Amino acid sequence: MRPRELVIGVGLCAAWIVLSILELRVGPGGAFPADDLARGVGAAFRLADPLEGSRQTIVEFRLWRALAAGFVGGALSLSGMMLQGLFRNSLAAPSVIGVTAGASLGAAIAILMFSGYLPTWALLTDRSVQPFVLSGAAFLGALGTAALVTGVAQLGGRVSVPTLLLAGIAVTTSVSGILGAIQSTVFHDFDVVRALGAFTFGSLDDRNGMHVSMVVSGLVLAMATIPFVATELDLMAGGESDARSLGVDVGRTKVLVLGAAVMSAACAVAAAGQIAFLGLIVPHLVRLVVGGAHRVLLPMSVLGGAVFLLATDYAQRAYFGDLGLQPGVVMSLLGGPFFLSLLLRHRRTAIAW
Amino acid sequence: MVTLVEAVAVGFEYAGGVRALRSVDFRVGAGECVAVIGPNGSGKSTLVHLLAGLLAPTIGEVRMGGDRVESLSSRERARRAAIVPQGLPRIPTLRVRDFVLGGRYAHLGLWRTASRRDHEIVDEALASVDSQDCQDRLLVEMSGGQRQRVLIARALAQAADLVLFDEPTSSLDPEHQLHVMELIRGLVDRGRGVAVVTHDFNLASQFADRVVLLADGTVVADGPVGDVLCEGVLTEVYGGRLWFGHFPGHPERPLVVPDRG
Repeated sequence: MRPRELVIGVGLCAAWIVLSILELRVGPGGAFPADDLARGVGAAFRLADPLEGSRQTIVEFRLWRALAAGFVGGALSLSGMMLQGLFRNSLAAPSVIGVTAGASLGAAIAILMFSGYLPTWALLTDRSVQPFVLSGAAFLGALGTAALVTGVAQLGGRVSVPTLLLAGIAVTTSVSGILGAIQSTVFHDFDVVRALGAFTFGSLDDRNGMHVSMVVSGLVLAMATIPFVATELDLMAGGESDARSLGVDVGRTKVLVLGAAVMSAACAVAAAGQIAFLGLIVPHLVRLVVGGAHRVLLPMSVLGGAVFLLATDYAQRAYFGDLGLQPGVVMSLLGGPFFLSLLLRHRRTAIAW
Repeated sequence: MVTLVEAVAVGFEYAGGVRALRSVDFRVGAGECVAVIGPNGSGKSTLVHLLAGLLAPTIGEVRMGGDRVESLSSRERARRAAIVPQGLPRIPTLRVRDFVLGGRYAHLGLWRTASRRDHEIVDEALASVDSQDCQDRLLVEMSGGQRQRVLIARALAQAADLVLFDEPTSSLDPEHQLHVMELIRGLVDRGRGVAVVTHDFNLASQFADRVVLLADGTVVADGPVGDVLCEGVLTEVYGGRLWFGHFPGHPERPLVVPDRG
């Protein structure tokens, strides 16, 4: 790792910590003295006596929000960086190719099962396993759409990127239709509608320790593959045949990368719903600022994603707190124009597809 | 002579039933330079990819040092055979040194980190093609001749005994063609086995130990330069519009040029 990369990495880690602390200071309920915040955070981990009454609840909500924002941002960004490396195209991202949509469909089905709208197993009534079932369902949904989309876009062992993007649009649109239909049929059940709604536009409200552990476990599993796919992705950038001639097991690398990218995005969706475009924007910025090999790009995208989502959420809560904009909404507002500008810049190459 | 790679009665069909090769026998030994010639579409590239284990034969088998190619892991395969492809990948940010370091992939350990030894080998590889000076430059800035040298450096870093070249001189001027062929000959003289796919009869004639002529997916001729690059063999495959002679002062080196008559 070069000194410049080290400085950026340390800087991003510091920014992550600072923004997490700042995030504790804003939101409904107003500012808290630093001592109270420290005690509240300690109490959330059973290390201190809780603050009195609703004050403890408020601190905990903010704590889980800050942690969830960081890890969800990191997970989505890592997923995007992996997909861009795998498809050798900077337009690939979990939300673009339909992976986050599939994850939210899986999660929605799990929620319907928990609330008794779908046939369920005795197992699912146990609340302690529900987060894992939710993550698992999101993962299966994401894996299903990833398989569907790449299957459609594949011809003779080559993935056609335009077809991939179009198939992603088709899947995302279908899933939002299905989610809409589900919400209409259960509209009398406010809790379920609210839980489902959180998956359409990502939400960081009312998170708890379970949400955080879901996304952390997905992110850790995905990050564990980095040493075994980073060099391979670098070599595959020169073409699969060339990478194979150098000894890269291309098939295994694809399975690992796709599995990790899907896992990471799915757990992020299970924890906070669909946050569009983050997995597209951050990898781009990281590539622009850091550049270089995937061994650096992949971990850096985790840090970048965490800082990016935390920063936007903090800015939103500190300056537009009254509007209560959800991060999913903010990201869509930022990401749509960004995606269009990318298309504009790549117009020449896009025609060459 | 130690056999590095051997194809026995190999046939290959692409998906969709296009037959590229049928019952081809082919071998390359250590310290041997084999030129593979043949008209466009005769199966030369397919043969190279089969020899490197990047394609699996439809029938027959390819053996590397006695082992069936399919039984080797992809890394083991790459430690035994390197391919020098026709062009460089167009990765805008890739530097020459990092590209050459890619050749060490099959030798890296579990954590895929390059050791001091790997870097020394890369230094040696760059030095032996006279390219140390451009190691920090971007790959996309390389000219045709430099590009071919960088590709050869990567194959050297791969440290495989067998090196397969896919038309290494096709886009070079005459001086660079000779440079590249001299580099290839240097590998052979240091004990490596080399197969070179080429359209250039006269480079084959000057640098190869043996020439294999492919046509329609089969081996039409296989033998010393003088036995293959001769009128009786080549006109059968390429038609009659060729002129045959030999290099002045070297009666053992045939000279074959297109002749409009």
